Amino acid sequence: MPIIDPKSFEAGHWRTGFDFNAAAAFADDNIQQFLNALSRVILTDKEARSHPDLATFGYFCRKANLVRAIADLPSAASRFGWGTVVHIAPGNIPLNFAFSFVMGLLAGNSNVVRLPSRPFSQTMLCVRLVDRLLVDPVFKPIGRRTRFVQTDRDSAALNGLIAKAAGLVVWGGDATVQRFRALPKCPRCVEVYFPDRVSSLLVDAAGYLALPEEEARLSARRFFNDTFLVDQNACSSPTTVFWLGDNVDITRAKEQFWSRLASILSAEYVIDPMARINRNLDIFRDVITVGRALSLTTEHDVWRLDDPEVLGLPLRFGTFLELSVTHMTQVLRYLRPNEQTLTTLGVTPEDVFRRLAADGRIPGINRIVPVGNALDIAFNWDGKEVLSILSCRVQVS
Amino acid sequence: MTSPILNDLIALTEHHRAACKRYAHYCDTLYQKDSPLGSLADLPFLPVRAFKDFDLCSVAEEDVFKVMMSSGTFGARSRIYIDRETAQLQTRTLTAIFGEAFGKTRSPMLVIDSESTVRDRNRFSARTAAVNGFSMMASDRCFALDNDMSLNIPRVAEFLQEHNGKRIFIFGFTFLVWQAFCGALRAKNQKLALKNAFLLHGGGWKKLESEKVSNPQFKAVMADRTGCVDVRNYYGMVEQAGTIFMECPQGSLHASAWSDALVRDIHTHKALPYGKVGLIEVFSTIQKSYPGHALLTEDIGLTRRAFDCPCGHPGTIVEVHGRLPAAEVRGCSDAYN
Repeated sequence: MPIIDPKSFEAGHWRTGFDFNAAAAFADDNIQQFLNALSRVILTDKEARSHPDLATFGYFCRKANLVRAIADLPSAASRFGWGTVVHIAPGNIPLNFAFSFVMGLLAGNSNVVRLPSRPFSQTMLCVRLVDRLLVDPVFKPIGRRTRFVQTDRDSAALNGLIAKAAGLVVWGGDATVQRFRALPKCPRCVEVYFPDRVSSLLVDAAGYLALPEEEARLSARRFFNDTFLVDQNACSSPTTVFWLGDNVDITRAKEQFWSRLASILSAEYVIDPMARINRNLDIFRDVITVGRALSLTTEHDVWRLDDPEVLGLPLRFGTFLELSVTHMTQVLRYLRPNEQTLTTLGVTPEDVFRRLAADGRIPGINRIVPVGNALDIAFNWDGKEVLSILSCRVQVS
Repeated sequence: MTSPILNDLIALTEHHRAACKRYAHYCDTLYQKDSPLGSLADLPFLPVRAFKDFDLCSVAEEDVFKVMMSSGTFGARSRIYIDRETAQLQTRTLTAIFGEAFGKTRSPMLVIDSESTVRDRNRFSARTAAVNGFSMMASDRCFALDNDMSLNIPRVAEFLQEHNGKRIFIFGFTFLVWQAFCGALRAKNQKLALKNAFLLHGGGWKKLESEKVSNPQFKAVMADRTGCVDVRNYYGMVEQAGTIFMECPQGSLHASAWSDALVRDIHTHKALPYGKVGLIEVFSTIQKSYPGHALLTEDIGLTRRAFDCPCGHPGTIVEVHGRLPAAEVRGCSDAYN
């Protein structure tokens, strides 16, 4: 089943053979088998393995991960899909669509998934691998409930489809979310939106300094993957770096951390020339907003600010705000209203959660994960249990 | 790189630091306060897009004489605040650069544009600014295009008839001269008698990118259709109106006595030597009312020493190769397209 291009999507040919009103039981055997098979196909395909993000998706679909997600949900046996769910994936992340598709499918829905318009090779390969499985007669029912489409920005057919859909999942920035929220929908339509979020890293300076050399070196690599790999432009990429500890430790930890990162950057990272200019313009916007000159440290492609007044301003392309705290709870006062992920280094996520949420405090974030895991999509995302929202639970009592 | 205008630019940097708070805060954030300014490369510069994103003005509001805007094909447009002094300097430098290339006599001007481009005050754009700016060098003016950008040959013929025997000054944006003038003449299989004319065109080749028109090809078609062989391109921008880089008879774009240029690495923004390709930074000494005297453009190209050109003009040569492509940024912020 090839990707449906904008023209045929508008014409509506894709509806032939598509089971618009069908749903399935939550995580039914056939769906689990299909996802297991998909995981195997991806993880054994030579080309697929060369894309780290596709491999990550392959692991996401494997049995152990699904079983854990299903077990996390109450009454999986009395859950069913809602019907057809439309997924709007971001245009600049190759595989976000695939994660969204799996969530919709596992919850028991039929899925129309809007792909990025840019032809990323991972996107195309992933769809090809899905298609390869769907020709198997065993998976025919899934094929009848799956469409990968590309549409124009203001597609009338897409708006019409959303007006009739049982569910809508929108990944994207605030503007995209506003646009789709404003569209007419069925009164009972289930909607999940993922608007712009911001994220931070928390380094326990003493904990970091105590790490074995190899582990400390790896942590720089993990931080690089969380940030520079996606131009620091993903919702989960840290823009604030909290340094926890006393001044002596923090000074030493900063020096080691940034110099370890610098050696990766100088060997592997080349900033997009337009992004390089944008970084200057971002700083210009910051100084205009704050109304005075800022103290800025520039080394390689890392630009570091230390003024809490830039909190809330967009930092990207390797620009970080560094804040020193002596107690973990001081982090709370600097978290932004749309703070999503806190990655941790030199301290465990469990420990951070325990200390932030002690005495009934609200921790102010949706995710606490170790450095390096910032971008790993999970079934629980942005504080939302997506499988729960995308399935209907029958009350039996 | 030593430059005859370095001291003027250092003085301008000081002037704008004192007069434009935003500029001062930006410079203080990104540049060491007392670092020596020994060459053009040491001067603080602004990305030219800063004028699209921010209001930057070094004079009191009541002294703003006019606001110039860039042609905003995509999104935001630059807003350039001009006071009387800067406006006069723009006129003076433009007149001098023009006179050096074409002589001081005023000629009848054939504008390859429509009258509506300059009439509609709400559409004040780079094209309006350019047409009006160069009109000062003209004794009479005729718009060759109708409002729908189609060539009105009878009107042009009448104008040429009226000024029979005089040297005609043809002016237009490069893409309009190519498409709406040369293109229309070719399509209608017509020729005009403009042997005794000179053409000045600018605004960039970007809109002709898909047609892959070279400067020699441009000149050849112009000569074939009109007989005009004195064809000069210029490089300039509304953010530095006045101090244009004029093409010499040898085909090089030279800086004027009030301007200079260098090239920076596209990733690191470190200054590059002559002949190396990077982002073009342009300098101009006449920006008193806004901090636009050192601007990093989004144009890719290189610079050469003046004496690499046999024409004898002392100004640094720029060679413009194209525009920096839009960033293909990863991440998930507002990426619905």
